[in-house]
Amino acid sequence: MFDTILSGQIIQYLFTGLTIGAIYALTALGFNIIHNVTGIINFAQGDFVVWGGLLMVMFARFFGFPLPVAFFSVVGVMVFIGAFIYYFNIRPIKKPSILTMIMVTIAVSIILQGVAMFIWGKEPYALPSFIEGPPVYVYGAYIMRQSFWVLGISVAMVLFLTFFFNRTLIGKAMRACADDPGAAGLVGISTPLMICAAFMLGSALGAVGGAVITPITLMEYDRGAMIAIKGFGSAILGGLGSFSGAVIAGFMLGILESFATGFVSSAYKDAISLVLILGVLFTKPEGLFGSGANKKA
Amino acid sequence: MTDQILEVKNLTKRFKGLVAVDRLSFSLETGIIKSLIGPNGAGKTTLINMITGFLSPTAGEIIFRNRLQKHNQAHRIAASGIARTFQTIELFKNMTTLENIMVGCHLRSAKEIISSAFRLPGVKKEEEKIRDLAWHHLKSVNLEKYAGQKAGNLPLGEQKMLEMARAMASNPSLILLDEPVAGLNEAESQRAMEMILSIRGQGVTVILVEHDMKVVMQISDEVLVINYGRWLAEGSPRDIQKDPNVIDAYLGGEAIGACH
Amino acid sequence: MTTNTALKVSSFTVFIMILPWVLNLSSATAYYVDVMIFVAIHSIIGCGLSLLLGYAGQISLGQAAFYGIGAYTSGILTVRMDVNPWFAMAAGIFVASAIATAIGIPTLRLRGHYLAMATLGFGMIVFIVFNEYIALTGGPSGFGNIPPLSLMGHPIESSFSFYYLSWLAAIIVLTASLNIVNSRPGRALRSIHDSDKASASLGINVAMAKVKIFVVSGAFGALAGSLYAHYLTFVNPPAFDVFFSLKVLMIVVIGGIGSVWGAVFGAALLNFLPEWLVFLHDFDVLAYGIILLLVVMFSPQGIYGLLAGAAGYFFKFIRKESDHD
Repeated sequence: MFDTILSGQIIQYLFTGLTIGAIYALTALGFNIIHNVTGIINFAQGDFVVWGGLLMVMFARFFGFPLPVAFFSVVGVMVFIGAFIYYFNIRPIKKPSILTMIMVTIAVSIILQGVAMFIWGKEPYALPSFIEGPPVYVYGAYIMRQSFWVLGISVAMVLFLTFFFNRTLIGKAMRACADDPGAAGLVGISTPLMICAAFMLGSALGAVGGAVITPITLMEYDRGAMIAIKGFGSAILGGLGSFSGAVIAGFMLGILESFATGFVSSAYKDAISLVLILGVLFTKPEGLFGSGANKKA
Repeated sequence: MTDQILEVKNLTKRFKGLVAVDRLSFSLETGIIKSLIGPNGAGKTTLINMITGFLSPTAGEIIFRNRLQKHNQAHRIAASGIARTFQTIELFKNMTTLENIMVGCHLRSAKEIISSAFRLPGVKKEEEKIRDLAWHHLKSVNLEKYAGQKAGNLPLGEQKMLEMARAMASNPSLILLDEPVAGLNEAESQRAMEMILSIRGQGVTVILVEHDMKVVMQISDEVLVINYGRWLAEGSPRDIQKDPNVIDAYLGGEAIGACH
Repeated sequence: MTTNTALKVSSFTVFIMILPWVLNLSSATAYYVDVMIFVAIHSIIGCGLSLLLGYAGQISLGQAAFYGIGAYTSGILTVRMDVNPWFAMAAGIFVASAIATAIGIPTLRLRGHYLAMATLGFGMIVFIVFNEYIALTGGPSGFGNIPPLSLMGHPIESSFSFYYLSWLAAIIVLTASLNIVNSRPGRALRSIHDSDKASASLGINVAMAKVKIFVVSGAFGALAGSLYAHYLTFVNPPAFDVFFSLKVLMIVVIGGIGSVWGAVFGAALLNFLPEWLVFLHDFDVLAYGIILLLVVMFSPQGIYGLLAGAAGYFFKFIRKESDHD
């Protein structure tokens, strides 16, 4: 009897963890895409997630768009914002040192946060599930229907990215730029265009995460920094630059947090994952799976 | 037995399967200029990096002034009396020429953050001492007129001179110069050579890595040739020029004396 | 300190001393004196980050943690244990320095983005502790009744007296920072910024030098935090959140990364701007973000750089060749 309750609880936590982890995974993928092509760690990545969520609320709840229309409008707006950020903030930088790029993306993050506060105010927004209905009962656990959407869409995004980078011309060109910008330029690939594409893809990816998670977690303007550091943490745990590593690490971090909430303390769940992230940064900055692209710096 | 400042025994460095330095042994007499030559990729810079603590050897020993080097931290090796310059000039570009040399005096001064912050007794005196020392070293390379200019703005030749003067400011007993005349014109090379000779004149032992054979043959007391990380030949410049192994290693027998 | 620097610091000190009397002539006095107190407090924490970021080239996105540690240590010791406020302040600086040492040793081995994220994470963890360790910190609602600092039995409570206290502290910190920059440890830091390889080859312990200046920045942060706590007599977590860390970064970068004076300019701008932009309400955040972006993109040396450039153009002959501040 006790066992079934416990196992039900474990499944519950597992699912919650996977759901939250999916967002970390998507954020980590966003970090990786931009980092691989440009070498920049985009501190505004978390704000893309926030914007995705808040735009989804605006389109679906306030403008009354049908869900798919709202969803693709969000993606469209964020692709535009990604391109805008590249052309007006990244591209004009004459001496792109690491320190400068950190500060530029922090400034972009602050501006996105400020504009979000201007448009939506400070309160958290709710969004109905994509499909209404009672939670689904699975082995003693009640799983929210939206969780399936989150997981489904995340898996779809991973498949899409795999296809994109391995099969499409633009995806291959982006990889070429990441490997060797000079050589890519020689064969006629425009590096600025590819960097722009990376920003568009990165912001869209963040926005998708925000749009699907908001029905579960609500969304408010200043959530970006925490999402960013967890996403970055996942990217590091998985080995910066590695897509599969990022996805696995994102889910691991989500599950860890969910179990920490259940068995240790909900107040310290964020602190626990932050301590883990710092621990990995200090001891194994190349990532848990040991084959990350970069060791230090 | 002559007075030895440095002894290298069976030194080996492997990078992921590639052997950059392979069981290399040699010794260095105090007060001489010993040149280290070899074709590109022979492992010269790797060797320098090991002696100065920037790389740790895979195997082997480095004995400096009769003491085995255990720690491989560059700043500690520097404190034991080994200075160096870099193949790619590593000046403090945003600091003035004088300040560059003042940093060179780091090991000859001791004041730390708190005493400096509050100008505790002795700080002023030490600062004056550092400044005087730095001027002295600056004058030794005739760079006084650049004292207040940012080091990054100096012409290449002056940058190389400054880097040597800065290394000398740390008061070393051994100095390793990594291609000090590379990229310099005739007049600048001449000045650099004079500087190297004057370093020896001050009793400092020199290890010189240089591609310019004319310079090497002209100023070295001894030459060590390595190839593929291994010992190939060692001796006076004249002997080395005649050594068939060496001639062979340098592209099918082209006489090295005629390289330039 | 070179004569030029000494001249600047003393003229600045005179300016600060007479400013309240000048402000007294107008009606808005008390209010501006209040703002100036925050300029002083933010200058202190800004000087710390300026040394770390501008001179050593190491970023920290977690300075709010030290500010909070200073404030909470002062508050907790004075309120719960009845410790003398001056001792509490010293204790805060000590605790912050100890934590900075412990966290600095592993953190400053990291570079670039990794360092930025690690310090950001550190700041977040400390913030969570302020919020959640309710028994000690009072949790989200914080706690009040922190006694003021006092001098020979007289509490320094009025804005007017606290103005002089906070600026005394700020000018000491500024002078100490300028002294560090222009001496052996400061030159070592600047050299690391340009080439850590060459620094090491000259006997500088690069890792330790970074940790030491990180500790200094933590100590300055704690001093600022402690002043804040004794002035407001109240602390709660929102004052020490991630955004405050970013604000300290903005103070330093907007003010001018190449000089500790930049921190003072930055602190003044970031405190007066909201007063001038009252109509923006909370949206001053947006203004900060835009200014930061513009500075980074178009004027990397910040306001101080612009002013110094302009002044240098007119008074070329005044600037001494080797005077770096």
